[in-house]
Amino acid sequence: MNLSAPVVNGDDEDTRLALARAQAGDAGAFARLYRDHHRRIYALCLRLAADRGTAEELTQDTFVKAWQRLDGFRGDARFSTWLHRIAVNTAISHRRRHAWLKLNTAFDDDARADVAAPPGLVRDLDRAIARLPTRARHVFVLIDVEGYSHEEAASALGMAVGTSKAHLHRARTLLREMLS
Amino acid sequence: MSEPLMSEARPAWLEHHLRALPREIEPESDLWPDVANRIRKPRTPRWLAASAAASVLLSAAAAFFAWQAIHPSRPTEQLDARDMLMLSYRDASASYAAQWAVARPKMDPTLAAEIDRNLAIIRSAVESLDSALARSPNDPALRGLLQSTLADEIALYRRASVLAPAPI
Repeated sequence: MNLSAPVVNGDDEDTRLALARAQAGDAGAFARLYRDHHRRIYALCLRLAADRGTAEELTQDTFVKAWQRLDGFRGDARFSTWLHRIAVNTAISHRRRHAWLKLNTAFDDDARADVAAPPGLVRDLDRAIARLPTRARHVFVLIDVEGYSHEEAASALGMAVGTSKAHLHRARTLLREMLS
Repeated sequence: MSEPLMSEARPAWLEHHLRALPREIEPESDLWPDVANRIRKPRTPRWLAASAAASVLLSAAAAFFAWQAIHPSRPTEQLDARDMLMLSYRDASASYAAQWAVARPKMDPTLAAEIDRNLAIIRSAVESLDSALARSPNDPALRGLLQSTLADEIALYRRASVLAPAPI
């Protein structure tokens, strides 16, 4: 087992140590990383999924995948950034599978704007985000909440940059209506 | 005054709301026990998962090309469109299924379960389309749907080979 800490840009000493131990197979050290990061990941998943149960599942999947991929983490980015990327990919993959399963049931993406906010979302902007159409919500969360560029969001979501811009505009317009 | 269409900059009203948005939210239930349970199993070495998936893909491709080499010699004019499609499907699917049964235990359980779920959906769709084609054997729309569904199965194995090196 390699116990040497990876070169980690921006992570503090405790995180580097926990990472090295977790990479060596120490589940206790990984539990510490979970405790430090799960609220941030859950918030991201909740906003992307707009459903508490799905967000819990996505959060768990994110940490399981992170554990499975820890060997490949070399510290080129902060651990939180790396984890964040796994969470986004997990949520998008989940959404694609969901869309695939719904192919024959005429899933109406636009209908979401009229759906009541799911339980657990009590903050005004969060409640409004949850009511956005799925793709507009994903673009809005990645760009306006998480700080992605249009290029980064479009790449993550598998869409053209122009489409990302259109969805962001639509999301902002709908949010303004809902919040005003 | 309205915001400019497709403006890149965040509008002021939105900045106000975003500043109040919590960066962290505590889940209502403790999610760690399930995570701890799922990570209890030792990590699968990447090379093992990758080689397992690659062997599935390569074998699947070999089966496909072998089928293509053999079947043109059959008296295809005696078969209707549905028979031809289903013959190819049964051969290839059986080959895939046998290899998947070998590769599956070596792969990440979450990934393997997900692949199984998707395979079940595809097979169910194939059976439904096959039944429909039995009633309308020369319906081009049904035939097209069946072809694309069978292609989904191949794509799923290909996707598994991509996902396995870094188990999802």
